[in-house]
Amino acid sequence: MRVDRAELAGTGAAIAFHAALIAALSLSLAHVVHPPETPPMEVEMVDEVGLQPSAPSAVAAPPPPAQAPQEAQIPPQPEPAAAPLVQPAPQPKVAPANSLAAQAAQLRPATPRPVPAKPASSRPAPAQLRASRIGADFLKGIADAAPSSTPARAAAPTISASAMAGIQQAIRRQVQPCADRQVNPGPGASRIKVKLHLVLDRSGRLVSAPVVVGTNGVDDDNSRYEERVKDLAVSIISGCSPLTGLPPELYKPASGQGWGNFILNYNLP
Amino acid sequence: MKRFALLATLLASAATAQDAPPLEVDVVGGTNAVTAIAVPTMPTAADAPQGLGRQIAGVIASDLRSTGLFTPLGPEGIGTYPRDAASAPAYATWRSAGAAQLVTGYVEANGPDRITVACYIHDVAAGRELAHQGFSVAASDWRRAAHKCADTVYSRLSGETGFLDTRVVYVAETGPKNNRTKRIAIMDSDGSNHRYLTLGDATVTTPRFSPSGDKLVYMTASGRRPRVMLMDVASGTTHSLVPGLVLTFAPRFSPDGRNVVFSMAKNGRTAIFTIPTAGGTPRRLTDSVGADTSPSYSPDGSRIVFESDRGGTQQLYIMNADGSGQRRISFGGGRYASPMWNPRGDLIAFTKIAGNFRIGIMNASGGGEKILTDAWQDEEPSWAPNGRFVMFNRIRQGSSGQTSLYAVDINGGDPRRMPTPQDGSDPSWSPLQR
Repeated sequence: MRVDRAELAGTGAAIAFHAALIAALSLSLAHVVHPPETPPMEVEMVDEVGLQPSAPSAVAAPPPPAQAPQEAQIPPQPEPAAAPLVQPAPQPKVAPANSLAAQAAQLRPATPRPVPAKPASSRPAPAQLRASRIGADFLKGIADAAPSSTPARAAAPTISASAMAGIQQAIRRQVQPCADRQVNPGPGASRIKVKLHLVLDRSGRLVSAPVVVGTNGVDDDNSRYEERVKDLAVSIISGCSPLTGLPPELYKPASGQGWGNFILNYNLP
Repeated sequence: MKRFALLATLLASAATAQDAPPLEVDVVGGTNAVTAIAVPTMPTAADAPQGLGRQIAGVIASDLRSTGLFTPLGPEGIGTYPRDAASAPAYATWRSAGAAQLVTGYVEANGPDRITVACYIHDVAAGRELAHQGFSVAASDWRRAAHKCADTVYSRLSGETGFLDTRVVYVAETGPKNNRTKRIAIMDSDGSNHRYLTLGDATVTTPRFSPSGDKLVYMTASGRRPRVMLMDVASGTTHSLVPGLVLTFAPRFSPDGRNVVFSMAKNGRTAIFTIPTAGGTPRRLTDSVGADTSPSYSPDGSRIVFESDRGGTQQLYIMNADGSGQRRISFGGGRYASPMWNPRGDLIAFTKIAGNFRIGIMNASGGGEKILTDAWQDEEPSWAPNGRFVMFNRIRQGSSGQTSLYAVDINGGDPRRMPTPQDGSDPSWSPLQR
């Protein structure tokens, strides 16, 4: 079989074309444009969790002058017509130095421009974020625990320090007359302190008999008075209950520090 | 991410922690005033001697008043209650009557000539019973049952051990100052059941109870020769404890009752000796240039406190029970005499002579001196078995030597006079009766 010149030329041209095509395709595939990775989500750990919902609020006022860019020597430009509802605020200088905004600020004068205000947040500056306030041992003992699917507890009434002090004063005011009537059995008895656990119902009455959960200050000299001082402590609350006028909303707050279940510490003067 | 979600959940839970420490309220209050305690007439069963419930309540009220800690209400002037109310009184009624505490009970027959006295203590303010106890006694011993009930009340409400069911021996004195007749007398601590144990034909001093309360040692000076005598209280029989013609005085039992420690004057020197209660040869404990006398054992029997003028003036010394380790413990100025170790072992009562004669107490190792009385002449202290009261005799200035018995709370308060039918001196408090 004889191959003519035309056929050879055609075959060579086809081979050359395919080789060129393969090379072209190979080069094209090697140049894959990867989409930029999304920056990692920052998760912040806080140790103050309020029971009250703390919805973010917009910053209406500009930040202090110290936070303004140092290069901002140019008078601010008039606001654009399509200004956002929220007052513009210059970007705080606390942005990361390698952020695009920071790079841009270094390239040109930082002209304040309307920027939609970010939701105000109580979170600290990024540098602080990286210093976790949770101890390294926090996860001990729960590594194998399955994530809970239970929804978070609903917000419950809180008991502030002032409210707690108010309850303490109200209770003390009511039991003090009964305490003042207790007769000191002897010297050294005043060193004995009795811790009494009390459970009241919502009307301020004792649900059960007071329980002495501890005493301290008992020594060889006054030990003979210990039982008597316990009696006196029980007599105080028994004689002055029901306790009245205590705020019903603080009977049993979620904090567990309500007046429905409290400790009375008693000692003679 | 799941771990972070878990963390957030835990943090939220912590904020609403149910295990937060409960609310704490500090209350400080109290008084040193006396306690108002109601002692109404106890109901008496038909088969028991009628009127006994009122008499028993009266003794209880008197006993409690004598402690200085209570103001009894009743039994006169307040009503009684049904027997069932002894254990379940109407607290509101007693509260409105002004009582902080309440003593109830009942009396019923318990066989021929015997009765049972039930005794309940209530905290009126708290509306609860604090204690109850029953006492079965011969009907003629109803006062003992009342004293026992009072001791139960006193002990429960003061924290101290009881001391009301006790007896007192003392020297009863009658006659003119220069010719006194002195007899040993015994009575209940409230003055009842008084009787004489000696006839008055010889001078007697320093009667002291044995630890069991059934014997006495004392000094008698018949024929100008003082001797230590031992007496059985029930039978009244006596015998001389130390043989021979030596002069012996100031006796006191050891805590186990097996020995008597006393002073002996011989060859112009006075020293301290011990002798077995059953008799034997005295054993010398001191041998100083001065007069050593008024010995008293510590309650554990390991040491003895005594007075001595070996240093030039009367002072207090302690030594081991075998006579070793003698050292002075009184340094407060003035003279010290008639020491007695307390039943708890931590205090020593004494007579301090610095101008007037006063009763004081000090730590057993010396120091911590506290003067309890302030009169012209108080001396011869004797501890109550609970160690809270000290009885002594007092001679008032200008009283021609008339002497009376008083008791004082070592924690303070005015001394109260003990009821005696005539002058009294040298008291000794018995142990708590069983």
